[in-house]
Amino acid sequence: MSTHKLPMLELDRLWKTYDTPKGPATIVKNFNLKLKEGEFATLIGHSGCGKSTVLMMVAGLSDLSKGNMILAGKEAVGPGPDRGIVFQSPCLLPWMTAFENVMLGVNQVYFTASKAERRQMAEYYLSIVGLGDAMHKHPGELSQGMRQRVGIARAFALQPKMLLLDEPFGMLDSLTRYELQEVLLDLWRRNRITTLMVTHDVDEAIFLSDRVVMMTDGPEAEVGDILKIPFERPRNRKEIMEDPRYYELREHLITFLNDRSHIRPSREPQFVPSPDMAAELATHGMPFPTAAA
Amino acid sequence: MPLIEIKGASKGFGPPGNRTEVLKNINLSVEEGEFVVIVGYSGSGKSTLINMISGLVKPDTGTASISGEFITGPGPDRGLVFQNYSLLPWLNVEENIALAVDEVFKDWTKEQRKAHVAKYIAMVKLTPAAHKLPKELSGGMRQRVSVARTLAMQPKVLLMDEPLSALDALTRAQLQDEIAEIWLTNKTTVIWITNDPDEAILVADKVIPLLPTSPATLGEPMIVGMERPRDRKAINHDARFKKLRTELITTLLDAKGRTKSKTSLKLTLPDILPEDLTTVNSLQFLNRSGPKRRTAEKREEVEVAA
Repeated sequence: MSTHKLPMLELDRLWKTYDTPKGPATIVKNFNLKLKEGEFATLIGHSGCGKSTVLMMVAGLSDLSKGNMILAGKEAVGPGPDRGIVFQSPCLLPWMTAFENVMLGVNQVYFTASKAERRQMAEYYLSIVGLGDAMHKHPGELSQGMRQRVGIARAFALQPKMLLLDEPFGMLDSLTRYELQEVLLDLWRRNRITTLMVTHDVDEAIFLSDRVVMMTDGPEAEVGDILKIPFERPRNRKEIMEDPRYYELREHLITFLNDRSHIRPSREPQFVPSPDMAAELATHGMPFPTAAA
Repeated sequence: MPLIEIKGASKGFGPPGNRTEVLKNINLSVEEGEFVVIVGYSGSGKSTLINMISGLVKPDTGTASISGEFITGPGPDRGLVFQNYSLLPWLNVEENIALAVDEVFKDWTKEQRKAHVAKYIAMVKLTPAAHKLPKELSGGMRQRVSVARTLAMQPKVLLMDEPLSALDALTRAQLQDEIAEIWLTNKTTVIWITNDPDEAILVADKVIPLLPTSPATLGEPMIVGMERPRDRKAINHDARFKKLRTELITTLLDAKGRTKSKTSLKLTLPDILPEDLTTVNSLQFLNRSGPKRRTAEKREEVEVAA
């Protein structure tokens, strides 16, 4: 099988509309994205622009109003363990230990494996995220950062086809956030699960991802621009921060968020897509109207 | 002579035998009118350090002094702003501030004190909310009351212990700008503690990292030479900002990395693959016993931070 040629995730003209007394309100409009297997992509945009809506549609927790979503060659309907999610708050069951929280999902998807193997699975991932000594504690005894480590271990332990991260470090202070980004990359280096992450932290997006997808302000949010991050993996924060390209990329993203996020490509006749965005659009067989004209 | 001076101070907690040293060999000197920000990880001893200056904690060894006099206890010459605002819930904004003013300026007339309170309420832009109770205010507004109360005492130094950590990003940005602006007009000496490197560089004259060695020590001070008022958007494109930011973040992350003892432990990643739960009733489970496997079991040795 040559499945590696196919994209792992294909979002084709995704729309999200809600019915309101004043008529339908469009939150996300015509959202296109293809993710290759093993790619790490970030959705960045202002609060309330619809980033999380896109992510929740991919997770199957929110219906598509229009459009198609193909995951690993199959149309995906509803949520399932093939997509692991890490939310902003860790969402652990408070009466279970960290280990039991991870075992909950592990027992489901590895039900054919032996009990010993399932335990090993949970222990392995909890140790890698740095909870080797604390895995039998309850969430109440763990710090916010440690709880989020459990959430990350839980998602990876299921070996999902896709990992969906919804601002996983949004509630942490900046220094803890840097630490957990390293933990995430360390796990991801061992098992390159295709990942889609939502964030509004520019530095986080650059450090972690292969591609950053910038969304315009909502409502009717769409893809405003796409930026490839050229840094080699494994990545070292210090080297990246000292790389002159780092601040170019950072400025590009900050300028987008500050000055250009209100520009909607579909309504702006003068819009010229960046090379990265044009390449993405071309894979959808829809060269940009103005570029063709 | 520096306004605040700490020399060779250290502090630990707990009885002998079960003692945790928190700070070691702290040397800090803050000139009058200076805006100093100390950046460090949660739990690394930042609050202990500021409590040494406020007089709530006495150093085990070394000295802390203000204007050349040893600090023996708290006093109105050092105003403290806490993360949790610490307002009295049954008093409104005006009364909360008046409480401090009445205590500190006992010899003033009633009118003088009232005018003084009104002036500081106006400074933090809360005049329309002067008669509201804390519970009727947002987090950002409550922290503004707390700042106004502290400034109204006209302390020699304003001590801020993670003042904005409980606020959302937008409110935090707004208050950073406001406090920096108030400082520009007042020029009160400020010692501000935070865990956000960006916040530190944005507001400070001088940034000092608190290195999370155990016990913690202060790193080399970094001078922020950028002009005020600073525009948070423009600053992102400033070469000096970029350089300082890289330096500060790597200093803190490197120091943290060095404190981790690497232990090697043998972990086994079992070679099992998840089952497709949408087809649980299919025949595939009858035709094989045991889980799907990628290869034979593989063992791997990993380094894990303890």
